[in-house]
Amino acid sequence: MGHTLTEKILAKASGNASVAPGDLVVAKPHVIAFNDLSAKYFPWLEENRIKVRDPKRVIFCFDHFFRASAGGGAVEHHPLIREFARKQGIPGPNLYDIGRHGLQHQIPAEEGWALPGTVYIGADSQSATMGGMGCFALPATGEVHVIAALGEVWLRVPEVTRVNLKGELRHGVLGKDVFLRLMKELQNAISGRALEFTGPGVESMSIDVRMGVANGSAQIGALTMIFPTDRRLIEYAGPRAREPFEILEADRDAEYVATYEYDLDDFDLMVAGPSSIETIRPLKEVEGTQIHAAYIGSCSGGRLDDLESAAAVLKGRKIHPAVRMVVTPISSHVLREAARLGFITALIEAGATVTTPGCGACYIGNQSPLVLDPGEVCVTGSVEVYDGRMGSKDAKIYAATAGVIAASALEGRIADPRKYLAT
Amino acid sequence: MVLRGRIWKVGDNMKAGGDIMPTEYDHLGSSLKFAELATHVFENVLPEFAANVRTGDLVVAGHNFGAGHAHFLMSAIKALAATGVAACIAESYSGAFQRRAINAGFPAIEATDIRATTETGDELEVDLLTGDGKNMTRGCVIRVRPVPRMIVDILESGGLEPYAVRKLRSPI
Repeated sequence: MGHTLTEKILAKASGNASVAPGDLVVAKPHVIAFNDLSAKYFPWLEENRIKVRDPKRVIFCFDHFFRASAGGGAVEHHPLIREFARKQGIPGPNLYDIGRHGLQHQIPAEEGWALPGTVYIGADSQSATMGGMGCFALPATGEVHVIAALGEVWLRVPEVTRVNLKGELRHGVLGKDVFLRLMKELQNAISGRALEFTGPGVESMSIDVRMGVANGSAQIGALTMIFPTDRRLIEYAGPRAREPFEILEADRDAEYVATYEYDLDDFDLMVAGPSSIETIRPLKEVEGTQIHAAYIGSCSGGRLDDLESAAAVLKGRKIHPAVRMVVTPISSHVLREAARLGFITALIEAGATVTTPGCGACYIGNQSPLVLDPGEVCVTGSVEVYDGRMGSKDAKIYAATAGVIAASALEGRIADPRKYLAT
Repeated sequence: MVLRGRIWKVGDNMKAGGDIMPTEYDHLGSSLKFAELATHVFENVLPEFAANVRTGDLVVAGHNFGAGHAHFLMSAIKALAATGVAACIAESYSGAFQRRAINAGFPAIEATDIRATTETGDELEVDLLTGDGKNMTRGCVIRVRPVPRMIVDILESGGLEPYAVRKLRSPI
């Protein structure tokens, strides 16, 4: 009987010849990624005089907190993290500080930390995002510091649901749209399992799209999502990998609790919200809704593919005078690439503003310049749409893919980007 | 590790934020006021729960317990524990709920078809290591998924942090 990719990764990481769903394993993580909210974990380590087991495998990504004023944020947390890293022997370059900063849901991929076939530990509920890199990515909120201390993580090998893909996504349809459709159709069917993607359709998905899909694991109720290590992932990961990695593959006769078949050609532009991420509709059902604010960014929608999509819609055009648009690239690397490729110029010339990389406007507490007033409507690239998330509880938030956000900013109402795209 | 208690039965897809705890009390969770949040647990689902729950009671649930937004997970778990409930036994759990609960020292057990042989008010006894149990009220046998030794150790230590401190202090 064959094994799923999950079983293979966890068997290898726990030193077992093979494992089966339900088995308790203790796995060695390849890397443990913290963010700049993680200073809250230090007291337990310091009071118990614990050193992290392998400081070379611990990284910090500065992504939430950039407040320069007294009372929190960069003033308090960033120095605490720098001091902690120094005391623990965590190498300087493992801190993705200002100038190299960005989301913990992006940097581990860019910087060769999250590798195919390994166990990845992330400090945030969205940490399954790294499953786009073919690793078993565990969101480890509340336990990440203990995993770092022990150098190991306990896991019950999850059952696996398979999503088999064929076809190819249409132009402008990105990770967000795939996630929203899976959310709509599978949300209560996954229940803590791992979700593995297979099939010829995967090859057509960029790494950005794969991470955009895996980002939605927590919302869908999966423990994590894993994409296979195909030629495209090897091309991305190979040059970046800090260590050699082994290509593990699910066996053809692996056992899944369920398989869902999808044709990527059938995926279309979707919009979620307002108020609940579970309210998911095709774009045409909400087209025409007036908007006041537009946000390109977040762990769901701030990647190069997203900036490219928005720039393609906005190039040579001007956003609606009643709309304010903020663009927050997911990382310093993406900002540089977007600048080099002319996307930033197109966005700025259209009237958007571009901020420092970070989580940004997704959450009011991050102090983005984009804050919603009562009665306003925003369309966002993030996955959080509950009332109050981006400012006033009396503002409404819709989540959509980058092209839709850009077209909506142009028209001042939710709009279809396809009329603005060359064939 | 043996659990024995009176049960409260709930259905499928109980959301961490919405069913286990009402989302309008999110601020109580954020400010760690779990004792106060406990007075609102299951308010939208079992209005009589908060006033009548006793220490040692058990929650029996259907599929996908702890569904919905991950933001509410820890508050829901801590509030549920603060009511005095000793464990939850569900057909399945959503996302990382089960893991968070165990790491917080709260037993989140799995059992297939548990709702077919239980009703609110029944007295249950179950041995977590063997998975064997009995519905004392109905006189029938029940089974839960046996809990691995390491997880019982984590639970008996009071959660992952105290478990880890013990483990680091006494190298085997």
